[in-house]
Amino acid sequence: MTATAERPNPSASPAIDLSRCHEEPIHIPGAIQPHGVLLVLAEPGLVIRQASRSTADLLGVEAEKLLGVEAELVLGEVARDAIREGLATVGEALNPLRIPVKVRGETVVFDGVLHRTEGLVVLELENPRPEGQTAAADPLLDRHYRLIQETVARLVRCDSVEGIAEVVAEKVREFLGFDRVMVYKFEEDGHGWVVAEDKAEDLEPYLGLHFPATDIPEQARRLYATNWLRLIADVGYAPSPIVPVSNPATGRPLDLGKSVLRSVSPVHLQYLKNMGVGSSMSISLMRGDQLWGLIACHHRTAKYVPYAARLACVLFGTVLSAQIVAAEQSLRTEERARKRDLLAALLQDISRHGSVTRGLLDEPEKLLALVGATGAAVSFSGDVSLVGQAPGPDRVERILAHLDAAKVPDIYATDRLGVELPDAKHDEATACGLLVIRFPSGDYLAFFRPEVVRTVRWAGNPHQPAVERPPAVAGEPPVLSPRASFAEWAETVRGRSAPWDPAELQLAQELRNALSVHILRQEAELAKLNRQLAAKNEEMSQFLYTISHDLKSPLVTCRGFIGLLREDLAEHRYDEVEDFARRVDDAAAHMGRMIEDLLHLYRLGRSARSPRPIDLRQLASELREEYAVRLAGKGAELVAAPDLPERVVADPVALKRTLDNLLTNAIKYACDGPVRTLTLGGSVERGEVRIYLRDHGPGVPAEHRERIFQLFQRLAPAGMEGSGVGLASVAKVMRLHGGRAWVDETPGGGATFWLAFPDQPRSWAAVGGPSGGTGGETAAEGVS
Amino acid sequence: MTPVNSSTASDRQAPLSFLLVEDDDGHAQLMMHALKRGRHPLTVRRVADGDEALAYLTGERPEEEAELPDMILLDLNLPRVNGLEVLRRLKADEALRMIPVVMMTTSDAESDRASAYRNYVNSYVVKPSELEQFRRLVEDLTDYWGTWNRPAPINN
Repeated sequence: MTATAERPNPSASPAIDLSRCHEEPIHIPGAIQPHGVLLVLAEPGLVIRQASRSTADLLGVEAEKLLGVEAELVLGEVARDAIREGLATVGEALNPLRIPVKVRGETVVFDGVLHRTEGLVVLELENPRPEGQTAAADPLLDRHYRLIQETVARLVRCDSVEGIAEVVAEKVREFLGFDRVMVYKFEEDGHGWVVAEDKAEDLEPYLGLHFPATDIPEQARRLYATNWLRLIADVGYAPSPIVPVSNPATGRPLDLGKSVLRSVSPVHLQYLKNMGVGSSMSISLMRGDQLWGLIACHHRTAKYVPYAARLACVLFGTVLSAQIVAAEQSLRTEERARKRDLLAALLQDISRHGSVTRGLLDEPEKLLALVGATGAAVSFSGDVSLVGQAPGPDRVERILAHLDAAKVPDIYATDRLGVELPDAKHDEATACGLLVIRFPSGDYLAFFRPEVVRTVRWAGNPHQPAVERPPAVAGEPPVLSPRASFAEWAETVRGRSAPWDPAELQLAQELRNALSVHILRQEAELAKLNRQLAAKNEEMSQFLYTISHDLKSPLVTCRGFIGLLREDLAEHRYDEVEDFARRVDDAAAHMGRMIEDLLHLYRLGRSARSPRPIDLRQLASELREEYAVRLAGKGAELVAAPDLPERVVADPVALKRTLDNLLTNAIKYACDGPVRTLTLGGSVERGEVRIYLRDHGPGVPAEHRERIFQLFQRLAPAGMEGSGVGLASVAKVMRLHGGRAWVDETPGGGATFWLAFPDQPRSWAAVGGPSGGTGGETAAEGVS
Repeated sequence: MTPVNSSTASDRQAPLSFLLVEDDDGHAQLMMHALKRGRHPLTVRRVADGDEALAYLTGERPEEEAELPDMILLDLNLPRVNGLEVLRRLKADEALRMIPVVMMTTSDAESDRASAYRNYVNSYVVKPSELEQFRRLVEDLTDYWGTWNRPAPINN
């Protein structure tokens, strides 16, 4: 491929294939802009090997005549020394060099810009002026200084990218006098948009408009990342070819990647002409080694900017780049903090409502803002709720069904649902992008984003007829059609939403984690309620069984003996009447006791527990007093063992009732042997306080030790029966305290009944002083 | 708790001997009363709980009652060893399982009835509360087991 073939003349070829833009080797155009001169010098003698044809105009010598000639002979000794000094200096720090040249007998001073490429020295001369005007550079330098000082002072106060960009656009325009200065930002897909703009009042605003990636093709963006400033002094220029085309030393066309006079792509020139631009300058804005964007300057007519001023702009661009990086960083940090606050607020709403759905939908904007969605579907416990712009519930369900079939992970995001799930028949207007969070329970949370074409204000967008590009320059064919470029771009992004960024996916993960905990907790609570309900049911059926069975027993006795009584009375037999009447009386009394105990047992489940610290030694002495007569009747005694814990936190009424039950049983059944001492003791271990009542009676056989705590399971021998409710009450009281009751063997024979109270305060200081025990009768009445 | 001899009816057959396992004194007295006034000759021995019943049946009997009873009337809800457990042990015993056991209870619960039959009870009856009906039940029981369905002799 020759350079010539790659330089189609815009006027000669009316149709330029835009899709081939990216193939154009713009770094080797073989020509420069004609407002300067380019010379390729071979060291050590600085012999001219290539020259631009503009030498004829600017130096008064045909390019061909310069080839093979030492630069000193053309430019003079002063220029030669300046060049040698420049080459000896590291980098290009000395640019611009002051190069005085005798042209047609007059001394003309050029700005000389030196750089090396491919082992060659390239000297570019521009800004020719008569010798006397050199002093003008000083006020310019002064203005650079003031510009940078003022701008930096204002930038420090800006905290947003847009704010910084606005200041820069305004200051650059003020400094250089362009008709329009824009800050243009590249997005990941290569398309870009105008972040800030300062312009002449009568120009069409471009602010906020997006431009397709083809407008600034990839190799141009690459070039901009290494060469940070470009000037097209006159869009209507005729390129000045370099002769010869190929460098004699390398055999290749000269690489103009670092040239300041490089002739630009004819496509680009046409593009600028289409936009009504007469001259253009752009400064690269870098984020690290990535091209972040451009400061793009447009002027309606030709405009030259001297090298020194351009240098100031590059410096300016560097400062701006640093500011932008910092602002973006702090924006990201702020954004993260804001999203975390949002997430925390959502979780608080859920806790407050006690429901995931109601919490998430409390303020739907919060939910949507969390991941930057325009719509959402929330489905927990089978109910689907929609917020914002979302597809209908049927469509959402269908999408979810397709996700299930595709076995996607629990968190799934796509910016092109139509491509990923072509069968889901999604709606591009609402659900082009999808972010879904799913739970094993079948619950899910789906976020939606619309097709991006519908959200972007596109330069030349057919949907926005009010915004049009300036017409092409008269006489030039409109080779670059804005509508065509939009159509091409739209084709590439059709069916896509704005992408979900990693921070948003991270938030989705955090939301899922938090909700999982909530869902699990709700399930656990439900399971607990179910268990409690089952236990309640069991208790209730036990209760009914008891009423139907055990209460009938004394009834049989009553009616039986009343029958016998009647017969005897009818037959005037009176010897057994007294006995029969007593039997009826006893049975009725027994029945009354059972009813009372059952009612008490039943009420246990309903009475609110009010645990407080109880002084156990005081309680023991109160019991001793209360049971003195009954104990004495059996020749028994009640003692408090040294290991009896000082205090226990329990419901005083229930505890008293429980100990009453145990003591009554012990006095009744376990005080007939040789040892008739009942001992109250216990232990404290790992937050659990245990209390025992020990006797030396017949004991409870191992096989009955569980059964006796059930309702109406009696072990007492006939004639010594209780109601069969006492130990069931004990067990129930302990369950209500979260503890348990059991019986084991007293060493040497007898039974030891245990009561365990868990979750006791480890530090008694935290509980306060002892309550002063319980008052016997008053406490018992307090139950009902 | 002395054995009762009844000889009011015909003595075509040897009188049935009953073991009444009943912890409720009132119920026991009513039962004895009804049995005593019945038409069939019979003897009754009452024990008050499951332990006592098992002890009696497995050999700790007074000498004059060397023979096992023909019938057992067993209350379901007994202290120490309950009626169902007594039943289970009887039916697990090679010799004792031949003695018909009539479960006498106030419980009409399906589950109790099922447990009893699952453990090979021979009859399950709910104690009526009215005296006349109580008497009729006892009469029917003695009629049935004393006349129509006599237990097999197990003492030899």
